[in-house]
Amino acid sequence: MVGTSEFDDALAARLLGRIRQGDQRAFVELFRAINRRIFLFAKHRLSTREDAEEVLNDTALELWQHPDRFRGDSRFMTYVLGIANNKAISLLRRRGRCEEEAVGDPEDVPDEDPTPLDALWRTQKLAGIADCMERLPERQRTIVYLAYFEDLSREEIGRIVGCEANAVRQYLWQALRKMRDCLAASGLQ
Amino acid sequence: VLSARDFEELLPWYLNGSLTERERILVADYLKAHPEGDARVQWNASLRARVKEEVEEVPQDIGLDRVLATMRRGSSEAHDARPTRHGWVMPAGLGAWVALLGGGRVAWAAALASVVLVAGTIVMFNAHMHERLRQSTASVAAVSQTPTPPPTDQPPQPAIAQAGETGKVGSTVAPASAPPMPGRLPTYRVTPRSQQPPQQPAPAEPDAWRLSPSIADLGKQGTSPNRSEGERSEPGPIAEAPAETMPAPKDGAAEVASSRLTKRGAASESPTIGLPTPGEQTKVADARPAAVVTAPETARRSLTQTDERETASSSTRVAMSGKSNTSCPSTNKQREDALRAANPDQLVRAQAEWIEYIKQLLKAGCRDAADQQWVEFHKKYPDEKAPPELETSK
Repeated sequence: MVGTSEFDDALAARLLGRIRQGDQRAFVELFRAINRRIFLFAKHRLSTREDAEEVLNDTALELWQHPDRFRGDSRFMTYVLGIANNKAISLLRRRGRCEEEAVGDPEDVPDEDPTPLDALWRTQKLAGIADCMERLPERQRTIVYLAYFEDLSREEIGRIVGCEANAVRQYLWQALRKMRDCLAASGLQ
Repeated sequence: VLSARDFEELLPWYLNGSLTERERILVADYLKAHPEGDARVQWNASLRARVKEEVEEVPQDIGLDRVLATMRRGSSEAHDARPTRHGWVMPAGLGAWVALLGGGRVAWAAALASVVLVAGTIVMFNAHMHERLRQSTASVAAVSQTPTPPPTDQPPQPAIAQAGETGKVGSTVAPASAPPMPGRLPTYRVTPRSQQPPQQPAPAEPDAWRLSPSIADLGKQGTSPNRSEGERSEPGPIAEAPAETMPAPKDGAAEVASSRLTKRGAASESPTIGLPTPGEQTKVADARPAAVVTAPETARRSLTQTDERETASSSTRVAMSGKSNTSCPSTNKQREDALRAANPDQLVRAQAEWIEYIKQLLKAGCRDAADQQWVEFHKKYPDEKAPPELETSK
């Protein structure tokens, strides 16, 4: 499994330096380290495999053509996923699909207590979790993926999706609530 | 102390390890105080595990073949025009250039600046070469002035409009048949000898109509693009005309010619001097062919610079005017001397040669010219005694 700890920024910087010199082997090495993460991110973002592959292709070409654009201001994967997110937005726009806006202001979500996660945990039916994630709005689904798979911080996710860290926290909480409702409606709760 | 909502909002970040130390302590304290919170932690952990399991289902080289194919295709497509993101069609060469420069606005600016620089260099080079050619042709001194030929016998001759064509060797130059406007220099036509009609009557003095070899050489020098500014022309290119054919300018004509010489020297690079004014031309038109004296630039420039050159200029006027005697021999020689005197940087005639020349003037009866030459000679060689012929004639 590819995780963020397996690919540090120092290695990425070395590979980018070689890519800057036109080293295609370095590009292949870098691509193999990040391609599945980009693909999965794009797939969670766009829902279809074809679109995800196109975003993966465009993101990789961006790294090949402009390796000097990464200046180390953020973690390399944050930078790469930011590119992938922009490519996904461009793809959606080309196909006439507008990104879904968040339903309501995150701050307006009423506080509920007790949380429904207890029931989800008890049912242990995680198989339906993926289906419920597919039903999430694109931004919330992306944030769930980035928080649970990429283990990125709120600030890093906010940099990728273009919002404040506190909003990311609110979006994720909303996503989890919707998943609870989804699982409950599916009889999984 | 965290609320239940704060705990749920922070829990995903607590599990991925991205909370600050203060927040992590708050969540840990909440879990200690609320044991039911462990179930939520486990549910979130299961969700994380389910998301991470997906990556195992994705092939390791997914997208690799496609991106490599795109890269190969992109390198070949760089040679073709392709639309940019702005919708423009980028020239193939420029596109490859921009790609080599790394793309982006800076690369575009650099590529366009290079194109502009190259184009500007070409334009400036062409303009420079054109100017050099124009200056070279303008400095051609191979012009031989002729009187107005009989209009009835002269077939129409093509007028030369381009200065570059006036320096052709072996051409004859004649004033245009139309009378020049008052106050303006006459227009001359050049007819190559090869184009002259065979039935055209030969001039009385053919040599006066042709360019001497020295003039032809000067014309070649003038048109030579390799001629440097520092090169000095020898003051010898004088139209060879027999002394008998030289006109006898009336009083004042030399002054006019001299002043015109100075003006033209300041206003034009043309070294040709002695072109008559319309009035002068009318006076000499029906006379004999007049020679045009060609002087180097150095001689013309020196005329107005120093007192010494003023003296030389006066002798130039005297010599050019031919005041002494119209039948005096070696008028060309006088002019040559005048030109030499006008150019003090040039070597003057040898002392003995000068004396011999004065004697020749005396023999020819050119008393005034001989006296003038003696005055000039005595200035330079005050210790020399006057030749006996001069004393005798006095």
